[in-house]
Amino acid sequence: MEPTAYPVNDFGPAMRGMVIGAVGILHVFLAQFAIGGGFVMTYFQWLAGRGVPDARRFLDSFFTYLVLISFVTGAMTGVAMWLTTIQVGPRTIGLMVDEFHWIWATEWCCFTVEIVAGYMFLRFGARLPDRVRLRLLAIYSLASFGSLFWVNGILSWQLTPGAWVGSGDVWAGFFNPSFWPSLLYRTAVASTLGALAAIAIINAMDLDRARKHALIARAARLLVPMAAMPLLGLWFVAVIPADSRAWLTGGSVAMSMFLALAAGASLLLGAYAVVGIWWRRMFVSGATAALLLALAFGATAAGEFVREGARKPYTIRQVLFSNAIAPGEVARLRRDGSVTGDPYPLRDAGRYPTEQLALGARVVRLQCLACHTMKGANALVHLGGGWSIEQLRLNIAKLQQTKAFMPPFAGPASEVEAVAQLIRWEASGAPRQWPVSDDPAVLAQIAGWLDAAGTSATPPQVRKP
Amino acid sequence: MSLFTGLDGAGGYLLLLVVTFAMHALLIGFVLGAAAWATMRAVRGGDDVVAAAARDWLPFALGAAITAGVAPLLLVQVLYQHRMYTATLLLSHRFMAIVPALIAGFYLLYLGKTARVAAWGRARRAAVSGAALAAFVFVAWTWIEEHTLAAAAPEVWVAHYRDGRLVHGDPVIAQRLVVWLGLAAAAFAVGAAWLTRRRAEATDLRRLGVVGLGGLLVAAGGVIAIDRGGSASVPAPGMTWLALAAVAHAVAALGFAALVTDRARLGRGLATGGVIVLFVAVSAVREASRAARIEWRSTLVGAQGVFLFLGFLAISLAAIVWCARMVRAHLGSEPPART
Ligand code: HEC
Ligand code: HEM
Repeated sequence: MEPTAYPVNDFGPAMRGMVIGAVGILHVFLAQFAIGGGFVMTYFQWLAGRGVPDARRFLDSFFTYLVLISFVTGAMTGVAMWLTTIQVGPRTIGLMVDEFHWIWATEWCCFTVEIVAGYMFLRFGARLPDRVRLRLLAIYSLASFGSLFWVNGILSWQLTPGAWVGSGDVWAGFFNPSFWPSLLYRTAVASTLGALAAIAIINAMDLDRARKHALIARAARLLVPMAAMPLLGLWFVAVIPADSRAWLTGGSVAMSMFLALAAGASLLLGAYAVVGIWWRRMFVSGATAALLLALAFGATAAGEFVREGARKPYTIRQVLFSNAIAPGEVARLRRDGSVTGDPYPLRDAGRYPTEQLALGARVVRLQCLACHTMKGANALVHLGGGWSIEQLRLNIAKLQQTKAFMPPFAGPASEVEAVAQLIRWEASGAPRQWPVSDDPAVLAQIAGWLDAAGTSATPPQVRKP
Repeated sequence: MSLFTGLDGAGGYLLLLVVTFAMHALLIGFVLGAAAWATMRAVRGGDDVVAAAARDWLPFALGAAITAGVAPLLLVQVLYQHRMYTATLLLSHRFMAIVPALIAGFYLLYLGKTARVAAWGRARRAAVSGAALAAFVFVAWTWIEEHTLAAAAPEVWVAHYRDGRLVHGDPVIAQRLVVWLGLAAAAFAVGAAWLTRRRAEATDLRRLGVVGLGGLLVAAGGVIAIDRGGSASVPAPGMTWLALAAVAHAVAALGFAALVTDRARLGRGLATGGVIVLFVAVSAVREASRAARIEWRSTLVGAQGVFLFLGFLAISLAAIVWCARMVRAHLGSEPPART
């Protein structure tokens, strides 16, 4: 069977990107908090061992439960992430599994240790001496950082596969150009989230203001890595491909806005941490900490959005387009047709008055639904429904030039025409009668455009920011 | 053993899959059995040592079971990628429903441990653990459904997709569920016998023995039903494992019988050994019947990182053992307090 022939689900008005985005942001936030929470707990346990007042009290407070709840939900949303990734991009995750399964298996080892050490602390911690508690927490933190370390290599590889593209060497792919900046960036975020949540909890503790302040000043030390985030962000932007960078810096308004949001939020947080809490020893109220946490959530969400978005038109750069077609397959699909080998019929076949429109629907399902819907979010009908049929033909045939973040069209002229007719038909209110368009002159013209556009994505240097 | 050879390099993956899946199934079995016991106890009122241990350990057991499930999740994707993905795509929301079900079940287990719920009346306490149990049975059903659909012929997939179905109906699903639930009872009986070994009274152990025996009987009945239905074709390499499963089944049954007749140490030992071997053997038989469908892609041969993994596996095992010994040494042997 064709490797691309997976059944494609329709997520109603939502785009697939939105589905994975929602789960992803929640998961990343929780997982990073569980890691940062581990840092905080290890640090406070160390303080407790050295006799710092209230440190142990803080640890036995609600905070421990918070971290452990988030590591449970973090684990669950991690499984959810995996299953959702299969739902939205089976070929992408399949390729990642093929390449990196031993790395993932290694991550699983770390994750198992994290769960065991974390539960032991939760269950027996109250009855253990400081030394043993510290060891358990250190193992928990190390293991959770280990998970981040391993999975970060795989995720950053999607955007910057680096030398792996030529050599297929897993280590070249793992330690890819964006590995270090994104690892350090995520570590800083984790530390920040842990510190902010700790500050919020300390505020809620039954202590007088001076003692709270003393604890907060300690927790705030873990906010300091935040100050490096703008630099780490710049480093990240410097190593990503030129075209992704071009969108971030103005090519796509949404993208630049999100980047600005992420950068602005982390800058604010960092400045506040360094100047306010650490240097000037200001008191942080529970409300402020909650606000800062919300800001951090915003930064996480925006950062994930940028990471997802910057990959377009690929899910794995230079390897797989967003619609699960590999660059090397485009020429063949142009010759043989993109849906010829797709065994799955349309679920709503009865809606279409002609075979041509049904063909269009199958082509859209395969090639466009990764980023568009017909009538919901980023809808084809809204984008191209007002165009003339000639405009539609030209723009679809030269898809990668219409917008550089679209892949090349991967089918023959007849499929371009079928999609163009489908969009016009939908835009006209899906009438029961619709003429078939099979003028050879039109098809020849489309074929000319397809050839002129070529079968590759628009190379970076040609893309206008 | 011949199951793992002659597969062009896929054998190592298959071995890992069999072992990690057996771990997953054992822990899941404990979870299902413990939730059922806690529910029954709540319905009948009062409390007992086994129910207390079940409620106490359930959240951790579920966490461990899920963690253990991630390993086969990875390996199934390596070995049966296209089938696994197709089945989960076809089941779509129906499949994804396991995520909220698991989260809900998890928190219900935590809730069930609180002092507040302990003070509730019978009906409400039974509702808490009963709802968690229902969520887990639903998840088990879903995985079996996924497994069955993944094994189906492409024509079945196409029809499923065309009709926009979300559910895959097949009588074998219920039969497999019966087998797993029976095995779950046995896994739980063994686990509970260990967790309560210092506090359990003879009646508790007798009851656990009965539960274990009943579970083994139900599981055997399920296997016979599957065989009658004609959907159990175990190819040659699986026959050895099937024989081993039969022996382990008998040993476990002897162990449970010993528990019923008040020979605690002997019973616990035999039942534990029998049940562990039984799970591994069943897991191997399960793989044997689909090993012919492995999509072995040449790119996988020599995939890099296996030594990294083996190294980390050793380090992780050492870390876990070290944590456990450290905690044990400082706790002595007193029973655990609240969480
Ligand atoms: C990698 C994701 C992706 C894929 C795959 C994709 N598109 Fe797009 N497309 C986009 C984005 C992003 C836009 C910009 C939307 C906007 O400007 O609001 C866009 C814009 C468009 C537009 C409007 C262009 C303009 O200049 O206003 C049309 C028409 C269109 N796409 C058609 C298609 C068709 C037909 C397919 C399938 C053959 C397709 N796209 C596949 C991402 C994609
Ligand atoms: C309470 C929760 C769960 C229960 C009751 C449960 C139960 C089961 C059962 C009964 C099977 C056997 C299916 C068959 O033989 O046909 C199974 C298989 C499996 N489970 Fe779980 N499971 C649970 C949670 C999970 C989770 C969270 C994961 C993922 C991390 C997982 C991963 C797997 C995998 C990968 C398989 C093998 C599927 C295959 O071989 O095709 N399980 N599970």
